[in-house]
Amino acid sequence: MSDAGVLALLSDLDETEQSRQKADKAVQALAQESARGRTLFDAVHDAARGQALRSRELKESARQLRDPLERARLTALNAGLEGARKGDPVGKALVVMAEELRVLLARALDALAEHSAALSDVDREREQWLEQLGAARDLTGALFEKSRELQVIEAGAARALERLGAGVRRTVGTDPERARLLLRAAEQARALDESLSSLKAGPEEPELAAILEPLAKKLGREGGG
Amino acid sequence: MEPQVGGLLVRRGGARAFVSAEQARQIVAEPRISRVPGSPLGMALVAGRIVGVLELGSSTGALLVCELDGQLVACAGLVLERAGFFNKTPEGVWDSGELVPDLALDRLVKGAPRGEA
Repeated sequence: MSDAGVLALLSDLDETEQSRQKADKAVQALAQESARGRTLFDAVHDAARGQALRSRELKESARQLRDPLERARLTALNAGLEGARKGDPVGKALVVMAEELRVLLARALDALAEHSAALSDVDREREQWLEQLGAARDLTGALFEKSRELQVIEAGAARALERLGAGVRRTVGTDPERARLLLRAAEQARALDESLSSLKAGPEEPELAAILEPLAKKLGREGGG
Repeated sequence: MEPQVGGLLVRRGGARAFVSAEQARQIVAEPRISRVPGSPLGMALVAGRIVGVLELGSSTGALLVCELDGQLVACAGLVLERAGFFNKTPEGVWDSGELVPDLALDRLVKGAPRGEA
């Protein structure tokens, strides 16, 4: 295999290893973030369930309020009926008072009904959120599982790269890292040789060129292998 | 000037009706109503007495106990609006410029469908 071929192979190997390391970091970050996301979803889910419990308690207290208010409304109607039976003017005051009370109680009952309806709306919305939250949590769980699979795949890729490195070592007859260093040194020597040659060719520094020329030749020989 | 009469305004379905204070005896929270096969009336226990119940609509949570020919009859399914004094006419009473007819309880009892035996 030519030097250029070996260098290209080693460069590809190098690039592949760097990519693998980046992928490894990305997969680890994905696993950590999806695990964190799942924890957050669980916390929100628990909070929503706690709120649902509180909402049930509020509904129960609204029901407990409604019953005596409804009975009081019936009592006011009975009082008005009693006043109406007594006739005008004897029962007039009772009718007026009972009607006043009935109107107030009716308002309180209407307000309570609105309160209960608003609670039911909140419950409905929360159930929808919980449904969506559950779907998002499942998705995060799936991401976590996928990241675990990717970690396994990445470990396989690392082993394959290691085997490939060993193959290259056998093929080029030397350690890939050493070969890489040697080839890089040769490249740099060639570059230095070219620089020295251009210096040597310059008309203004003949003395410096005379000093550098043997050095450039020596480096060029060693670097070019 | 029309004479004044005391009583109760109710709503049956979408229609308003008047029950005089002589006929309307008491309003109670709706108890359990038992069906009576072959009879137009149900039965309920009101203040320790068995009373026939005429169901005039879906439950509203209250029974209006009335006296009809010396007998107590409770009406279920009525929305009880308000008690007061109203101007009487031969057909009913005036309220807010509207003629509210009498409930005609006797006709309702006679016309009630009989429960299945």
